Amino acid sequence: MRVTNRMITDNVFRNSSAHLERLATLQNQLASGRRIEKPSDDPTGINQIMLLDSVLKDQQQYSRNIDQVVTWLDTTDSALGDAANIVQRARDLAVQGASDTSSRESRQALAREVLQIRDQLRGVANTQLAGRYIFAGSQTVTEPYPDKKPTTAEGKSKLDSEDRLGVAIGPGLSIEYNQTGPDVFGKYVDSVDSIFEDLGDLANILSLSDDTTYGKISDLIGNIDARLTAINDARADVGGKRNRVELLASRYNNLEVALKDLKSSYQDADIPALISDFTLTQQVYQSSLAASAKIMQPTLMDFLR
Amino acid sequence: MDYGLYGLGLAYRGMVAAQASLNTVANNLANANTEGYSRQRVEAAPAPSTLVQSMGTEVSLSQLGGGVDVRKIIRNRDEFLDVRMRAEITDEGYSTTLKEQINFLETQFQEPGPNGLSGVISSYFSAWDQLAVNPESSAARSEVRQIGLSVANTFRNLYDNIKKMRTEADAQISNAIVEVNAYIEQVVDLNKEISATRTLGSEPNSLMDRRDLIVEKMSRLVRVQTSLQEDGKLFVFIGGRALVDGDKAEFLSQIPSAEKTLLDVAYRGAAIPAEGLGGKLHALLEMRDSIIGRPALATRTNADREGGVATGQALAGLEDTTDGILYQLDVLANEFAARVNTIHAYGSPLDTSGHNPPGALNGLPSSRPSSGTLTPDQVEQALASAKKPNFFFANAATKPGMILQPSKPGFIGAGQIDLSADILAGNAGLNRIASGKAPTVDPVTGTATYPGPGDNTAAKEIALLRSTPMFGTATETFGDRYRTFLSDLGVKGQFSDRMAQNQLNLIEHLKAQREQTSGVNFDQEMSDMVRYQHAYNASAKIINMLDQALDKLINGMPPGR
Repeated sequence: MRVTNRMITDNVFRNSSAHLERLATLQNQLASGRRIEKPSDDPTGINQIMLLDSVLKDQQQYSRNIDQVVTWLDTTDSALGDAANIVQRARDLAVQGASDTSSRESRQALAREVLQIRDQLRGVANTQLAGRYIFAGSQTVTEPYPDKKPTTAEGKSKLDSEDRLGVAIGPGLSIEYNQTGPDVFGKYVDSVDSIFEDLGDLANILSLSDDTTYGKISDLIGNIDARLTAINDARADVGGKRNRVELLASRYNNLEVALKDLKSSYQDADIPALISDFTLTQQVYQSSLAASAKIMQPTLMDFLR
Repeated sequence: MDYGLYGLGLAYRGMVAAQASLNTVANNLANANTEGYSRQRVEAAPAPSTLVQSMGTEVSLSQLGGGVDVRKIIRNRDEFLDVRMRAEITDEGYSTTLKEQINFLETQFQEPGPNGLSGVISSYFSAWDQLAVNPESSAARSEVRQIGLSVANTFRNLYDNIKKMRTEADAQISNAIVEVNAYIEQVVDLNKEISATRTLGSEPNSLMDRRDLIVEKMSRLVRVQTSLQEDGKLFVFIGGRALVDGDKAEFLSQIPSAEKTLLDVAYRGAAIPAEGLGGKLHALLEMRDSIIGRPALATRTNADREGGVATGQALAGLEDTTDGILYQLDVLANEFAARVNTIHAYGSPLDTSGHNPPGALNGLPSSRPSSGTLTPDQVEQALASAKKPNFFFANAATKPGMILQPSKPGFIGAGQIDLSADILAGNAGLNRIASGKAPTVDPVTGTATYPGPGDNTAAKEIALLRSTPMFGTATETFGDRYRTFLSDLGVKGQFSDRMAQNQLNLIEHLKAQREQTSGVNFDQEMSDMVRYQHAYNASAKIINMLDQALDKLINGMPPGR
């Protein structure tokens, strides 16, 4: 095969060019720490990376949602606990008032305490968390159990909301995290169902101390018992939800770590492998340059006298 | 029969031939590094012999050689290799240009990364999730609005940058055509000179080298076929159309395409399709018209503007390029905006004063359509009504003061997506973001009852769009479609990358083959030089010797007698 000097120099240039290109790519990957810079570097890889990115972001949002739900549930739980205690105390007062041994004065004292308890309970029913009333359903900016009942239609429409507040805590998974006023404390507007009515009635009965009203106290005690059951049911519901989200939260922590690892395996450059590749390419480059230097220089002209 | 003077003539011819060879060696060495140079050699043949009669007893005839005749100086060139080389160069021009363009296109998307569309849309859904947890919070609302603006901006920037690539490709095409036409003119000039020189009987080697080089350069831009004529003229064709017709040049021109501001390549006034052009021009046209393609028909203006389509106008050359990037972006943006808008329109804002629920007043169905999304026509109708419903995204092109109106204002393409003015309006705008479920409208009185501010039904549903199948299929979400679309682009880029690499390797191989035939080897030339030097010296020596012999003959004989 006939070989010309041009072929040799072209060869030298082409080979050193190829090595330099490889070195440049490796250097780029080492500097950025990334294996994939653009879609054409690895089309299937980039699909995975973007998918994992998206899933990871969603997971992080679900974790954030769960944190919010947990705070709400804890607040609800503590409020319900207080409510149960208060209602229990009211029951005790009612029972005391129903017995024949109390005098008129003592029953009036009981009546006053019942009224105080009612206010305390009202405070609990109007618990707020970061400016939102937790027992107000979807009317979160309106006090669910105000002292004075509203008279306008608009005012009335804002109370006794039975709407459930839900939030997504996983793909296709959501949780309703609130307890509504009507469920726990009874309907308030245009009704006489709520515990506040009952307590008001109880106070009235106690302060009247009329014999025929004793039967009514036992009715009220029945109502109070029903109310206590409702409160405890609500508490159980809250407790169950609390457990559920806590379990989910710890699972999500592990999931997040696993997802990050997976994403990294696709996206990040394998630094040790790159470094050894880089060193090897450098050596090959240098040897090729040395060989080229030897072959490029001498011609026949050096030897003809 | 004169042996003496006859020999001088022979030796003289030998010296002339040796000189010509030495000059050729000098020329080869001087041009060893000239681009496109083919090494030359002397074509010598024995000169006609003379009949010689013997002077002996037997009468016999013999042929005595007549020396050497320098016929021609020809170049070492493999024409078949040249044709092959041109074809491969055309393909290399095509794939390298395509690869460069696609790489540039890819970088526009900035994926993978937090600034790409994928990341921004993810953040958008997260913001709605955050709002769902706390619908009354103005901080959460502000976040939704801010990121919504980011989404719109990202779409628009991407769209604008990619659209600009079309006009840039156009500019590159114009430059390439100017270059091709310059080459055509040069070939025509060279044809004239070459044929003139050949009629005188000699080979215009350096002119032919130059012509071959020019045609090779032309091949990178367009695919040409050549035909060498008897008289030395080269005919150059593109797909049967003659660009160089012997002495005549037929230049390429540009005519406006169906998209009025973009140009097609034309020959004698008729457009040449991209595949017929080959080379770099083909790649640029393919990039402009197929890979990037036209924006969706629904967004194109009614006015007499770029790609504009008037009602009832024939669509040839203006149809949707459904595989093109711009069209796909438009579809993505529109579907996304339509889904958000539909849920939003049927939701309840925090500030219900001035809210117009969907119904007879704005032409929308009173309850959500089961298909899921409002159509562009419905959106347009609703916007035109006096009691507009509450949309989150709007078509920026319909803002008052815009000269160009899209053909379908209800279609929100990637180039026009923006937040609606209602939402953008300061603090009041924040409270118009719909987070709650639809109000119940009394059919008799028409009054609407809104849910409480804590209701987050709409916000939750919008956040759920991240995993809701869109695009009429059972499982394809927004993310799925975007990823597929980007992945396809990546595959195209990788493929053209490999093609370009293959072509470059092939061309290197062909170049080496050409060098074998046409390249100059210093060692060979040097040894040839020694050879011719000896031949020259030998011929000179013969003259010397004959001179002496004749001298003896002429001057050694005594005069007179």
